[in-house]
Amino acid sequence: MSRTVLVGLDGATFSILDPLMEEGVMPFLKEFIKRGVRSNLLSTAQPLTPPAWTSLTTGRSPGNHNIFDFVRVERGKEHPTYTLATSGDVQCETIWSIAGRQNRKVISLNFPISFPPEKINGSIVPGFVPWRHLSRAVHPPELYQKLKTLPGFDPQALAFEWEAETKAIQALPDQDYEEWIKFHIRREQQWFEIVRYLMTSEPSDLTAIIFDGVDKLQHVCWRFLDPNLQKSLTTEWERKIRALCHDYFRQLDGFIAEIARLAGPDARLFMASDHGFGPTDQIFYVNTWLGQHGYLAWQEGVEMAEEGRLTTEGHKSHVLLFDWSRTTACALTASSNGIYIHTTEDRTRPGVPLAEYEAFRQRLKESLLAFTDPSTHEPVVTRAMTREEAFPGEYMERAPDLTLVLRDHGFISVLNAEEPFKWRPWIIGTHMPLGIFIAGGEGIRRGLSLSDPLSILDVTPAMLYSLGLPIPEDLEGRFAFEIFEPSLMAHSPPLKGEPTLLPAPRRATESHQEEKPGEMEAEQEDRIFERLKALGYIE
Amino acid sequence: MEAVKTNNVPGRQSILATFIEILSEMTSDWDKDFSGEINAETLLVAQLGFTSMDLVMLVVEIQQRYGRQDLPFENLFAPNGKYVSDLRVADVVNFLYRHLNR
Repeated sequence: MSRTVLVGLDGATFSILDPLMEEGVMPFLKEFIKRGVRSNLLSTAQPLTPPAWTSLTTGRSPGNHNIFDFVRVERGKEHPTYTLATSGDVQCETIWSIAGRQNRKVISLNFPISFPPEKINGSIVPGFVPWRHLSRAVHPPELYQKLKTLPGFDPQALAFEWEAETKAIQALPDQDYEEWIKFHIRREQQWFEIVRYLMTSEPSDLTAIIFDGVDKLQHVCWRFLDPNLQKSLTTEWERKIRALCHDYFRQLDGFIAEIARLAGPDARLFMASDHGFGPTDQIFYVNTWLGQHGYLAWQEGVEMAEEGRLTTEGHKSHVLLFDWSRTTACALTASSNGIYIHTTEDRTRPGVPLAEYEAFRQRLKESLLAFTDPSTHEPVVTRAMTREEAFPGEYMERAPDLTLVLRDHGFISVLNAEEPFKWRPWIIGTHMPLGIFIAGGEGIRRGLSLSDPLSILDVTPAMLYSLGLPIPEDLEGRFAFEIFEPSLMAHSPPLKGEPTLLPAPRRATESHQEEKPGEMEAEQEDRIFERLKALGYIE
Repeated sequence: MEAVKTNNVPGRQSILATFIEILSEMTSDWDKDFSGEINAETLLVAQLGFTSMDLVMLVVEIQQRYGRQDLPFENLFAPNGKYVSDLRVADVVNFLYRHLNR
């Protein structure tokens, strides 16, 4: 077994990294790739952080692990509702658990949907947790006190502030760009100090960390990073912002180099992103479109969207935007690009009768695909995936009924607007299906660039193999043998293992359900009978 | 923290005690002006300093504690479709009492 390290680069794409390496901004990464393997990495059907990282850390697809978005949607009788998705929603075993229960020590830092933390053999500091909640979010609980002793530790700089971040990636004023980039430079420094501390004080078999500033910068600063748009950068301010972006990536390169050094010469280092990135310059106000086509009615007084915004401010539920007595389909979040159909079993209540669901969905799908941008007459929606197509699996019915792929892969807006289609005032970044995979170290092939992309589901089997563990038979990815040296595989052939275990909360629920009420009552009666007998009340 | 889902119907006093425990744990290291004991009349926003994100995290905590993911919190935060500016501890307890027993 070699020590195994996973550096997650949220949203990283070779279309940005390659030019940065060529320009000398990321010299370590350039040399590392020369000595290792690189490949594109195909994300989940909706290339989004929570489902994609959860697929990478479970080796299972969203229809099976049950994470489709930042939120979990409950389909109520009156209307759907949603709350924040948590680790309790993940219905498959994570690699932290698989490795931990086989005596591998684990460090997991900044992964989404890992709050509340699993009680693993090692340390977890979850990502996407507001700083005021961080102290009770880490595992083991005493870890937080240790982190507080690190020089410069600042939970406010480390943690995620939902409102500020979601607002920024939708519409950031010019005067805020500089601070936005510096904020992420400071934040990555915080995460790096934690991984350095843990790798030094508690060396682990598997160390995994996500640097998510890559995604945040690319959303906002795409026009400063995309080589195809460099000619448009003419002002001093634009060049300054581009230089700051380079500072971010230069620092990141240094962090990766130091993590590799700390892991040691015999380690294997994997790098992966949850999805790729590319430009977007349009907004599809899908609920406005649904309203115009008779599927949705707005509540009275719902205001028109501010320029560039996709969601409401604060944490106000989008459910409250709609008049549910006259709404049969709506988008609840921008991130999922999903449309939920409100069905009903009772024909006297509002909603689509279950018997008409298939026909209704097909009609809606065809109508969406027929919608064109008035200026070019090109379709705005290039694909509308049913949940059977996008998210097959045990939990498919919790997924949106339709998941849209837009012409430029942009996110939909859930807000009300004068027209369903608008051009953005400038180009920003959006998620794309092809992310990155890089591997290097002991037993990894050298100088190999794969022509076909790996799947995000293939990363867990590769890491388990690297940890010297069998690959559970229920993982959905394949063992990517081509990235390993044949001599390594001859010496240590990959082994197929027992299926993964259910996560602890699901194990508890299912064992509870397995106890049939009749049996429980009979058992209780027997116990009472025995007790009464012991006390001499009966014979 | 383990869910305490049970077939027993939780009483109002039990919910109040559990909720105060949740709030105490959650806010123990917050830098807040409030120094008294949390009780049924304590205001989440004005006294304990809850932000909208803290309320989201509170929902997560309540769901975990009771093992229930189907509670219609929008009825608590936005009765009649309009968001309230603050909530008393008793408001949340009454909401939970009503819905945990359904």
